[in-house]
Amino acid sequence: MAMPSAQMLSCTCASCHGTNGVSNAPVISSLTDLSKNYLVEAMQAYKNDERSSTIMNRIVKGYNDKEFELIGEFFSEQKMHSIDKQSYDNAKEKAGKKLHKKYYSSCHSEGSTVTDDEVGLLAGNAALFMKYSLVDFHDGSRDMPKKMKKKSKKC
Amino acid sequence: MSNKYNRRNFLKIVGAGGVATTAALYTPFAISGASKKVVIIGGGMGGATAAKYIRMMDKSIEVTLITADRNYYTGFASNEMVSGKRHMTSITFSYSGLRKHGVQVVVDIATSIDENKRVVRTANGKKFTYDRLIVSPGIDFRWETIDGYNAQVANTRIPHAWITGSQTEMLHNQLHSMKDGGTIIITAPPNPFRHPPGPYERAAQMAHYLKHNKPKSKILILDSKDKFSKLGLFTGGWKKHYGYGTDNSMIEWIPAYKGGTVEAVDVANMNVLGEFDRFKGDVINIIPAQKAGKVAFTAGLTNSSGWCPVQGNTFESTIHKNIHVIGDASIASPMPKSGYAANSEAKVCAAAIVALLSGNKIPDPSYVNTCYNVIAPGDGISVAMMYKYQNC
Repeated sequence: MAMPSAQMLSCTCASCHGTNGVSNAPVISSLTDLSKNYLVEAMQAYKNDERSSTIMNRIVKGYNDKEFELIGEFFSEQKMHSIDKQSYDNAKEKAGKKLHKKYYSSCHSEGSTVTDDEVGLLAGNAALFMKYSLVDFHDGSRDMPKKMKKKSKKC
Repeated sequence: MSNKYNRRNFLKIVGAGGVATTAALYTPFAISGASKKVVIIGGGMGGATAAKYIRMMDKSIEVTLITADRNYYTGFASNEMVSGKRHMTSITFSYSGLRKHGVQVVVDIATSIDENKRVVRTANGKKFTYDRLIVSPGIDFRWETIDGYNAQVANTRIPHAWITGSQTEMLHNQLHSMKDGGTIIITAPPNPFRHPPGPYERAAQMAHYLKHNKPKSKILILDSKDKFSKLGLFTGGWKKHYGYGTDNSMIEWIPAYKGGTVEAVDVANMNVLGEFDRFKGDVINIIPAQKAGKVAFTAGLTNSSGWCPVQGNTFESTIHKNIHVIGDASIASPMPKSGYAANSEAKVCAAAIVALLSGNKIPDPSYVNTCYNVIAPGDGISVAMMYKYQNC
């Protein structure tokens, strides 16, 4: 049975997530520098329809576990990249920083520039992408981890 | 977004008959000390992606891209340009990004290919030699299938607007200057053709404009088929937003079995002739039957279908060695003739060429296609499909 290489598989991701996983679109996440396990678990969650999406739940059903491993490995080795300059409101940035520090910085630490198997990378993403992700968490279309749920209730 | 369209198959991308050739037939190309040259004809989704990925994968390969225009206008979102939701500038792209990757971009028209000497000649009298050639010419039209329709009529009165550019703007202008209560006719081509959901998305985009600006107007789709891509999703969307199926529907679809196949056009009287009836339009958009782009024919890369047979793992022509055909011009069924598929094919082709030029094993491909259509602002439909290659 044919087994495409990690690079070949990554090319199919790049069509939406950007070349080498560096997203060029405000509503699509970058895949760079996330831990392999984080990526594999995200793909599994889409495959099992445990995480909602527009088309990801359909796309991932075209890959097997071995391919998830290869894809996870490939993108975990790509380096972090911020999207191009985005305009922002200074006051909102300040307020957001405070909220992040109070509620979320124990997991998404160091301004969410570090990541591990449990925690995704927030820094470097487009503001619009962050907003849509939070809306998905808020309206229940994406499950939050227990701790995040608790914190978000307070927030 | 509607996600009903859930079909996803693991299909070999070319039927058993088409892929008898295996890697064993390749002799690795190696001339010691010589630089490796790839020439690409066509600066669309396929050609531009292949150029970028070959350079990313192997900087020692010289890549020359021959493209007819200094800019590229995407098919993506061009129907939103017709309706006025988008401006042409938002779908116009230059080649500066490719130049940064070290691609030599030449604005010219490739006129002939000598497959024995491995030379491409252009309209400006230039010659380019290659070790591997990629032909990504897109589509051309079978004008002869509709009596009275030709390139001149398309450029002046009744646009096809199926290659994004000045005709897309013309159709936009005709829609926007039409009187309320007018009739728009869209004729949809037979399979296979570029952007299978396109005519029906175009109808939705036009209907959205009419609903808010010229509500007494109608759109008539005359189809040379009895069904079409995402039929259930489109008719569902048309029902939801444009009264489809009621007496007040803005969109009426006439399939082939009801006489939708258009045989002729009377340009002076703005009539089209179906199998049984004559239809009068205030705006007419004829999307003719299609075939591979011109240079594919000149170079003898097409078969009797009018498209180019290729091997499913390299996109190398099964007719001429060292020439690869990607995108709409190639026969890559069951992948559709879409820009997204062309992008996916281009990456597989790039990886294959890099391997072939270094004498390495041809990589196993992986293909993907997705397509979104906007029925109305905030309401879209999509398809997503993975494809695997099986050599059999």
